[in-house]
Amino acid sequence: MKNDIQNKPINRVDGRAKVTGAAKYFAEIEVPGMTHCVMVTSTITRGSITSIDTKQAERAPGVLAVLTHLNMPAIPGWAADNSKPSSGGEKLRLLGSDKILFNGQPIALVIADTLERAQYAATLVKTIYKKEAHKTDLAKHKTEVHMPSRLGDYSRGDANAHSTAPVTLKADYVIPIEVHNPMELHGVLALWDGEDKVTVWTKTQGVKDTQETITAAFKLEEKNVQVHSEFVGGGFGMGLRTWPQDIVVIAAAKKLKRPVKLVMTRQQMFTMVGYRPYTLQHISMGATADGKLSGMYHEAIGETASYEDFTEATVRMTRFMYACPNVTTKYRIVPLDRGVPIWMRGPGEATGAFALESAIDEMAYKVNMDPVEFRILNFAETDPERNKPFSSNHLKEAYQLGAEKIGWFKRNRQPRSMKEGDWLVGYGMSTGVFGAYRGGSTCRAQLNGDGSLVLQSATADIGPGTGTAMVQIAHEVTGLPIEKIRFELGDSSLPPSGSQGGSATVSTVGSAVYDVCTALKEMMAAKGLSFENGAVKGNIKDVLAADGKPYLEVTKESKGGAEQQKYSMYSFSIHFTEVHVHPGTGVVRVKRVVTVADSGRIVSPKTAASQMIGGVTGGIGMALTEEAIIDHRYGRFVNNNLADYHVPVSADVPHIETIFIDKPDPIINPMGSKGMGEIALIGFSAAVANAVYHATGKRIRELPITPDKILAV
Amino acid sequence: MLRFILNNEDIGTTLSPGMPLLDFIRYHQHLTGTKAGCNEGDCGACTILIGDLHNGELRYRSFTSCLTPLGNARGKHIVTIEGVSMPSLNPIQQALIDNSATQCGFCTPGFVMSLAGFCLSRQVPKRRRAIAAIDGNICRCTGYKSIEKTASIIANFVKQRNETDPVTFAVEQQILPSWFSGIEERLKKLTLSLNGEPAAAGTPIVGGGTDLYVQKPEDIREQSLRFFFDDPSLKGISRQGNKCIFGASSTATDLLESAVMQEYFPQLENYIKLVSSTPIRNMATIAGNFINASPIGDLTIFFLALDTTLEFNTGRILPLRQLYKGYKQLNKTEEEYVCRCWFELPDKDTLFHFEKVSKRTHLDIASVNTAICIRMQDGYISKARISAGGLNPVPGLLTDTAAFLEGQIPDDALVQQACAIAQKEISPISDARGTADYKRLLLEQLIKAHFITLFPSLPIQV
Ligand SMILES: Cc1cc2nc3c(=O)[nH]c(=O)nc-3n(C[C@H](O)[C@H](O)[C@H](O)COP(=O)(O)OP(=O)(O)OC[C@H]3O[C@@H](n4cnc5c(N)ncnc54)[C@H](O)[C@@H]3O)c2cc1C
Ligand code: FES
Ligand code: FES
Repeated sequence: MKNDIQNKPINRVDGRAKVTGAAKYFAEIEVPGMTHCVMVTSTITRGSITSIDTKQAERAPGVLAVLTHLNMPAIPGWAADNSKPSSGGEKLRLLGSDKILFNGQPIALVIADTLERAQYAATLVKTIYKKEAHKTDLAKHKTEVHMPSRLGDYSRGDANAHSTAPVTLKADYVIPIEVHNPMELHGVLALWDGEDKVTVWTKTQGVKDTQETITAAFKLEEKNVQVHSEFVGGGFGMGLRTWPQDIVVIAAAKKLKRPVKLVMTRQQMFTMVGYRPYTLQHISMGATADGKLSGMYHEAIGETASYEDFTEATVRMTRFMYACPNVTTKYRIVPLDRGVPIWMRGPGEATGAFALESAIDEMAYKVNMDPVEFRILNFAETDPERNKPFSSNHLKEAYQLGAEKIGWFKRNRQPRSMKEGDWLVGYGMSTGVFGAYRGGSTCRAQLNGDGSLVLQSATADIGPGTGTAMVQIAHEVTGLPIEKIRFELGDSSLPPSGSQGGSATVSTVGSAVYDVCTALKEMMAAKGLSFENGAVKGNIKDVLAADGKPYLEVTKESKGGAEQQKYSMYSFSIHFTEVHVHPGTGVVRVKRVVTVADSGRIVSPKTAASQMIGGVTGGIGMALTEEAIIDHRYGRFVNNNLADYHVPVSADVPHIETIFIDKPDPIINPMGSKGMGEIALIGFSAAVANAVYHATGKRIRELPITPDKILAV
Repeated sequence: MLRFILNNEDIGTTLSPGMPLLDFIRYHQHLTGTKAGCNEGDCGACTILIGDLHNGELRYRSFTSCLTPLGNARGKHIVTIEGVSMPSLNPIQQALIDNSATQCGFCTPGFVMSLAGFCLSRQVPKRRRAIAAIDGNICRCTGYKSIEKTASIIANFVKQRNETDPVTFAVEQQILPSWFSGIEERLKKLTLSLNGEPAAAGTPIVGGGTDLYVQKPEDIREQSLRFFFDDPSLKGISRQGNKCIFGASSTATDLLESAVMQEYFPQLENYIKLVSSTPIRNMATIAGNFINASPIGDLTIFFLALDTTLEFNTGRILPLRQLYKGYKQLNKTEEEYVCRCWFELPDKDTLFHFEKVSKRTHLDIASVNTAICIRMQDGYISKARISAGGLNPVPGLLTDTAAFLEGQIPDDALVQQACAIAQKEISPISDARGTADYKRLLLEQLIKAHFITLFPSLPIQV
């Protein structure tokens, strides 16, 4: 690939389907004989079901079945697994027992011929519970920690340096529960063909992963499990696993011998498909008087379910981000009576970066340095955690570019020194980082007689524009025009690929596309064919006729090699923001954002820019409004809807300027591109908190930064 | 038989009129371009357009179909994303693609419909209004900026319309398919042949449905209902002498577009834009806002300060301030419903202002809202009324504060004292919208904001 030139912007290849409403997400699929499923969910938080009366519901018009733990067929893969959760609790087996492990847990499936009838009948199910005392409040139970099975403790150098240094800082940070809330509701449609063959349409970030989960749950052969997820209406991480309710609905379809469709409600999106966990963090930091970091201690306690450990790399950034000789990190989880969390955009790092980057800002003020200069002074030339070089790291350039763009050095650094009309003005910045990965992926290329190229891989596109980026890569390698190339995804029968997560799709699947197109060119050369001026040169029709094939076909498996062990690979982002704070009402408005991304070479400039802007907008929500609130007396959410759980609306979002360093990473993959979806959000909340400090002189260490926190003393 | 036009098709259905229009469109008509993201009016994924004849003229407004009863479609033109999609993309769709304004695409049909609603609105096209048209649409992926860019492009495009009728212009410019030209005639014929079945007295009433369909969706779907939204005897906003009289089913948008209201409340657009979102304002009736008795109903707070009077079907007349007996408890019998309301229009000596603070910039319920209406005489406050919501179990007037202000000359000290008195009239509770202390502080700030706005020359300490 010509690494020296910038890619030209092209429009999204599936744009037409999306703007006309023709794109079919799983809920739009209809099959003959289809039935509709509605879930009844528990209204208590811990305990068991004493009795569940389904008679009235069963007699309601159109109802085909009401399934509960009393009549649910066993799920063979679950029945065979007797392992115990490491927390010592019980495994979650939906409709497999009378146990209630969290509020909103499905306790009955009501299946009817129409959706309305299923919804109505679901209101007729009557349940009596035996309640037990529950725990949902992490702050209250923070001492009941549990050592996670992964992401253990880390220490280098002197473990006390953080508190014995000339300048020290200790601070506690809180992140509330955040919910992914993609616009599309989750669910599944299952269609069995006999007892051992099933086709499933669902919302997933990995069709192969979902295929594997279903295959294991029903003890089927892989080839007999078909999973489709061509269009996905956003995921942000919630589609990275196949949820237990998906499995029970598939089991219900098997039992009924009818296709069953479940579309969850928005309320259920808060309880059953994960969330970013409530997390408490403590940072202790030491520095010399002239601003060299001498020690850091970072501890995080996150919540998890009683029935499963959820872990994320909350404290990892602290280990390698800055050149600091003495670093200790600790990560613990507390099992609560809650549904299990799942990775959410910038998992772990987004939580950790809020604490670390807030503390770094605070320390910069303590040693009387500009926060940008303080970061540059403590810049890590090589990865201090693993003692390896970075595959690429253009942070210093990024700090400079962003600072210039927003006019950083022209501000008055003194807190509460700037005003515009009635509003206090503040500038803040932060760093974001996320591992740059390249996984394994296989891609098939089919070159047709008319010179059109079809590429296939079982990856997903949850929104970033995977198809578009892949077409662009194939276009660059082959020279074929964009309109002649089609990329197929979201179907488990295609060549295997990993799930769309960890910002690794372009790197992973893009490499496979790159490799398969290269292999195709080699195959063509052997047959006297080549690409020239955007078309196939040579008589491809004759070649195909001679081979007796409809198209030329190559399949290529592609994955990284030894370079992955030799280097530390990360994507970086620098966020700068200007906020206005109203001193009377405490209202905060983000007025301007400049975000610089060092994410290697940009494959698709248009979709990349919208990824960045979208991620920053998620960061605005995290910083200012998003928070799922539990009434701990009952263990249930009080704001489980989009009216009260505030994702940003357009009026909350200012002009966001994105700058790409756009320099290829020489190591990671043939395109030189690193990931971007996560770094767009990671760190942004700290930039806002730091800007609020600059505006008001007040440190807010608990997200979201709501007016009442600003006005409270 | 419920009859209406869906896109280019005549529909006659005997399905329950209480069914949400979204279910009819998606499950019964298999038009799946309209999406369901929340079923509570919050996300805009289900946005459609509804056209009806208004004084003989075809008028389109955006609605969230998840909260619209099928019964409210009677005699109207329902337009979904399929109805605005043609073999070649329309300028809205093309601009969305060109500006990278669709990512996962799930929200996109809703945005297309909201922008189509902007194109068909008879208001003077402005960039600001195009952006306001998408205030009820949530997008979790794009970050909105590219969608706003699209909105600006569309606003510029529509500016070329000049005096041309919006539908004619949209057809000429291929924003809409050509069959839209025939809709006005078809609707005229259709409305002549309509025969709505009157429901028995005592059956539940639905206005716009924006409250009922959020509160009890399962209950009302199959129920017999009385549809008040289009009842001509409950519509209309007019002036009689020094009074403004409005029908109970007037919507927030009707208020905004009413000539009388615009004349007497120059800041009306700034107030009304704080209330929910464009499609919800197109649906939300004033009586619905009064009767749902939310402690923070914006229209209720607005009209309380104007000392609005209600007239019931029984002929009973009741001041709005006496409607609320306790939390969600009304001074009204089962049989009574609101027919019309009136209030005295502010004269040249009367000043009015409305303020609302919510957690999110738009599309949010208030944490605290308040309105003020004061009459000035020779520099004195001769009459004052201040309403406030979110601070007590019912929306109401701060009568002690108002009494204190009367007969006084407004100055900083007076405002500070008034704020102190107001604190004694409220009992806020801490909840997801803010702590009790914060709400107390907000009320103080908003009372000051009233005076700062109404008396710009007064130096008021904030
Ligand atoms: C997304 C969303 C955002 C919202 N934002 C706001 C906001 O910012 N501010 C705000 O104030 N409200 C808001 N609301 C609440 C709601 O929109 C308003 O209260 C609206 O005015 C209700 O009117 P409606 O006609 O839709 O009510 P409906 O749901 O039709 O009826 C509500 C109640 O009033 C009764 N009713 C209707 N008409 C009459 C009549 N003539 N006589 C007697 N009873 C009658 C009904 O029987 C029912 O009990 C919001 C709602 C949603 C869904
Ligand atoms: S589905 Fe969200 S507004 Fe209707
Ligand atoms: S594009 Fe995904 S929600 Fe808007």
